[in-house]
Amino acid sequence: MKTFIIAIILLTIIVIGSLAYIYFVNYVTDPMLSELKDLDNTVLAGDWPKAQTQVALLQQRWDKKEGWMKAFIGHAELDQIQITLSRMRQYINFEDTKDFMNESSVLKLLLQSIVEKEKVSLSNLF
Amino acid sequence: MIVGDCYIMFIIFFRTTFLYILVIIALRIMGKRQIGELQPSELVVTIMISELASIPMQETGIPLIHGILPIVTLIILEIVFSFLTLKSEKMRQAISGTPSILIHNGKIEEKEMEKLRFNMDDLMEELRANNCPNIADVEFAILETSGQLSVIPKSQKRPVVAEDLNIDTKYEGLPLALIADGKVKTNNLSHINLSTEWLKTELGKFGIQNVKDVFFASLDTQGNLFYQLKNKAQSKK
Repeated sequence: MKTFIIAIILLTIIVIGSLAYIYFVNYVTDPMLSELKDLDNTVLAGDWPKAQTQVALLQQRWDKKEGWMKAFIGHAELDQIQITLSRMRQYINFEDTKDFMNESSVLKLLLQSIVEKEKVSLSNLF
Repeated sequence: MIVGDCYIMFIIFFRTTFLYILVIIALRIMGKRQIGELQPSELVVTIMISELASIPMQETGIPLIHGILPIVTLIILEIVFSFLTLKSEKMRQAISGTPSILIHNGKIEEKEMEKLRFNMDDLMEELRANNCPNIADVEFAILETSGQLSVIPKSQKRPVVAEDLNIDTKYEGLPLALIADGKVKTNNLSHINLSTEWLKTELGKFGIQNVKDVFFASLDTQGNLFYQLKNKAQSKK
């Protein structure tokens, strides 16, 4: 009976932990997607100094949370986000709007795919 | 580069150690049954746990939690299902199945054998393994849920026991180990209300001065002390 109760407690912890984890992923990706949208507008407006500050902040935000994310998400996906961010920084440095917009679109897709993969949906379950 | 490689080696070492401990805990929680006596569901869980542990062990790109979570979930399910089978007979039948009688009152149950896809060669093989090569001597043969065949011979063919010959027998308990590998088992000694001093005195009667020279010693219910010296101590003598 004691072992059974421990098993039920562990099961509850797993369920609560999973819900907290989904919340955490959204907590990280939602502001990043919003900042990315602002960055796109800045680049399209040609304000490169502001874009440099914004991309640095984006990188900073990601670096802060990446450690935690690595404990739960496949490292290959997270490495891909780092590569994309690095490319974006360089495109801003060289004031290349077209390539920046391409990379920005890739980053959005990567962030959205992290959220999509963690969702409890029929497509993910089967 | 060399430092980086060392880190990866340390990570693999850490992951392997962690998952090894987790698998040991999982198997301990699952119970004391031997591999050959596992229920079908337990066998499946054991195979799955080993497979789940080996993937994140070698692949450092996969978060450790991806290995831990399914293993912990399997342990939880195993505990929950074993609890349900303990409490409900219907659940027990659904999960573990029921034993099947293959020979009933000396008659082979053809339908049951067909249902279980158990052929005559399999049956004869199992009977031979159970020291019953002649099928005519078998009263009952039951295929247990673990897949093992239990054979009950006809009463005329069973070995003679003391009761059949009306012979009185003395009580034979379990001999208790008092020394194992040179170490006195104080728990066992106190269990039969004896002390280490008593043991030393008894061994002294056989010319043994040091308990550490004894490899194994046990005491049976008749009070006979059995001992065997370590190889080193024997060569000294």
